[in-house]
Amino acid sequence: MVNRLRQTFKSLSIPVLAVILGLIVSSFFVLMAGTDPAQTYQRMFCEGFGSKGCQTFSDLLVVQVETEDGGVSSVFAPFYGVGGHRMAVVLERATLLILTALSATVAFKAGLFSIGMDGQFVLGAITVAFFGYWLPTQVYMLAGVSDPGAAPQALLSVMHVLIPLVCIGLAMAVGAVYSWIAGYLKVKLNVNELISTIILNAIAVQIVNYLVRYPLRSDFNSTARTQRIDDTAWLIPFNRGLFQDVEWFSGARLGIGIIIAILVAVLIWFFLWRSTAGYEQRMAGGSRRFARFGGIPSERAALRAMLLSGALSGLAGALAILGIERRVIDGYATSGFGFDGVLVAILARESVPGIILVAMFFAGLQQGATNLQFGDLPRQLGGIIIAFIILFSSMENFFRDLITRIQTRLRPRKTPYPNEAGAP
Amino acid sequence: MSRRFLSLLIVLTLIMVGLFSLGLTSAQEGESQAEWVDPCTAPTSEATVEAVVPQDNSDISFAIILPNPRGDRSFIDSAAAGAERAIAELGVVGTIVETSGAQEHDAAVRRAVQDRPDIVITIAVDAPIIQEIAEEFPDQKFGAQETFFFAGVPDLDNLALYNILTHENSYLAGIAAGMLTRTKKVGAVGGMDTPGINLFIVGYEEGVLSVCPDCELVRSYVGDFSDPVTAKEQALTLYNEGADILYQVAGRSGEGVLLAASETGNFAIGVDSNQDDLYPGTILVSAMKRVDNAVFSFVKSVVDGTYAPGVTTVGLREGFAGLSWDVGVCSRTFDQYGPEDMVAKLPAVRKAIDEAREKILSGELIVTNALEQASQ
Repeated sequence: MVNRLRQTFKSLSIPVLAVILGLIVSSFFVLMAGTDPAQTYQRMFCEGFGSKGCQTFSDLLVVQVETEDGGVSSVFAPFYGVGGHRMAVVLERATLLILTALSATVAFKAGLFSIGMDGQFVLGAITVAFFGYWLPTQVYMLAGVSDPGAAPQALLSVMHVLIPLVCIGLAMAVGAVYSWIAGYLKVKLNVNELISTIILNAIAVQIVNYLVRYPLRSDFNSTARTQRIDDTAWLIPFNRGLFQDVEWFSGARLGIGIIIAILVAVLIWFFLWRSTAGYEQRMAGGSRRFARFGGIPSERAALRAMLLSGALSGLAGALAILGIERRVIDGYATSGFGFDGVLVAILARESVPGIILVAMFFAGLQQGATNLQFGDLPRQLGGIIIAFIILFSSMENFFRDLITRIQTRLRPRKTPYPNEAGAP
Repeated sequence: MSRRFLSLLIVLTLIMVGLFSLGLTSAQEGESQAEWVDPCTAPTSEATVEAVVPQDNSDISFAIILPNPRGDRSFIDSAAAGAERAIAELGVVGTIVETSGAQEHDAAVRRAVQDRPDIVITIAVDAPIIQEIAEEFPDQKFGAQETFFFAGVPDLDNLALYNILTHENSYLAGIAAGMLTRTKKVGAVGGMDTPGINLFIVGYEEGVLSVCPDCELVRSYVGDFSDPVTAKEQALTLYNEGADILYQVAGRSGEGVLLAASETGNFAIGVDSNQDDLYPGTILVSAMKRVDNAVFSFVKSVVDGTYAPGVTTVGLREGFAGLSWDVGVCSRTFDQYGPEDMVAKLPAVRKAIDEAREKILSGELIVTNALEQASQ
């Protein structure tokens, strides 16, 4: 148990060290831009994770609030939701990052470096954008309802449950099929999956751009976009539905998607570490030849991994449209959620709980970076800071060596060959 | 006594001068058809320059969401300039927010609302996004520019719109292109095939044909407002096909068109901001769209308390659209650096433009409004 704790501490200390080092190095560039690093970082973290009135790092925990009678009181910041908490928006973004990162992890664990999440994500999104509009109109037509507002309540409630489910299923299927192409090419023709997924991404983006600009375009607005999905397909965000009066959620389109994402994360963890199929997949990923000698059908495992990976990205795309955007705007195809998911998966070292934490942190950093502008700081600084944090986070071995060296220096071993696992 | 005499003398002289100049102008009227008097170089002693007194309204704040990063030296920079002018002249607190594309607009507007400024101004943000957010936050005032509600403007108390119509000043730019072309082939490069862009191009093409009915027109669309590389390639193709003047309506992509013109020794017409000085001698004139004025008006309406929801449509008549040659901007860069044969034609061109402007303003000439056509 103690060893386990120590292990956890050690794996947690690496990202923390990386973030601190990233901040120190990027402060050089922040200084060059003529801004104060301390102020910039405080602004960035406040914009990313703070509440209203957050100015300094300490405000992230406790924020001073003016009470109604003019006094000042201290409030626990994460629960202070007046005007909407920034974390609500972070969770909205993190919903998608968690799913795309899981998608990447499933592929990586099978030894396939697939980065096709972007393509599967946008195809899932466009599928839902189409069916979320088309399916309800067909149902209204069949039911003989001319005005959706006057539709019978029973029909609407059934549709509210079924339409999103059907849409999600279709998006997952589209994502899975698109990912399967790369898997099939890999297994049958030994085409490098990295290259095929990059190319498939580019194709998917162009397909979506075409669909949004021409056949699915809703009107002649300056920005092309699809028709808004029907209200029955919409996964109503918390601030419009369930928690309408909770101001914490105000302004964020966070909804049931985050719960789905976390449930899926638990399922994926169970699949990878507790099921036979997951075991086969991990073995095939470790060494394909070894797995085959052990009687594991490694080709099937690889294809299964690609299908699952694509379905997860498709799900992310579905939730992005059903819960957040409600339509695909021209330019959404290059919003980069898929690729950010790959980054999150790499930074989280393919651990499922890690993915949830890193996705939230990453979403917060991104939000803080773009919103630096609200503190009159240039947004480009945020990009530099994020890049350095990612760079240092990827230097895993460097930090591991560093920590081990510090540990041995601080705590001289009594036995010459200590056994870390505690086995005899 | 002497003072009275002196003032009498001055009044008499003034009357004399007045009569004399009147006679002079009436004498000129008969023969001045060929000569065009440049109002920019003419002495304007009577014009009083209003001194700008900075006000202090630091309790009033606004946020402006730009659709793309600054630095297009065109549309977005013009909007940002309007915001900066409002901060400087009205003394309000302003936040200028750049976004990098349509997928960020929604989040940026929502973040701006969280600070509860007195007004949130959006530039070219999509109509349904604004409508949804304005419905969600009924206490927050919104000002939208370059947002087209084709299904009808929603009836909201917190949403004001400015529509700047640019077909008429594009028509004037088209006259310049039609009269100055050497190859009888002119064209336009648009950012995207949308009514908002075609508003410019259709007006321009009508202007060209009004003075040069046998001119050939070419057109291409970049498909992106921040892709100067593609725009340059398209412009090079059009120039190779024999066009010598291109009108760019493509935001930052348009920089590629201007560059292509300068590299091939051809000519271009700038858009939105005064772009005449970017490549002196290459850019004939710029069809200006005063987005800065719209932004400034939004902020001013909040400061004055005259904020009114609904649509305000402005254009050439109200001074929100014009040419860089007009009084007030008076760009004469092309006169200085342009080739001699074209510069020699400029007085005639300006005279034709002035006549067309008067006809447009009097309602005698109606330029096609592509935006209205699209909404029908």
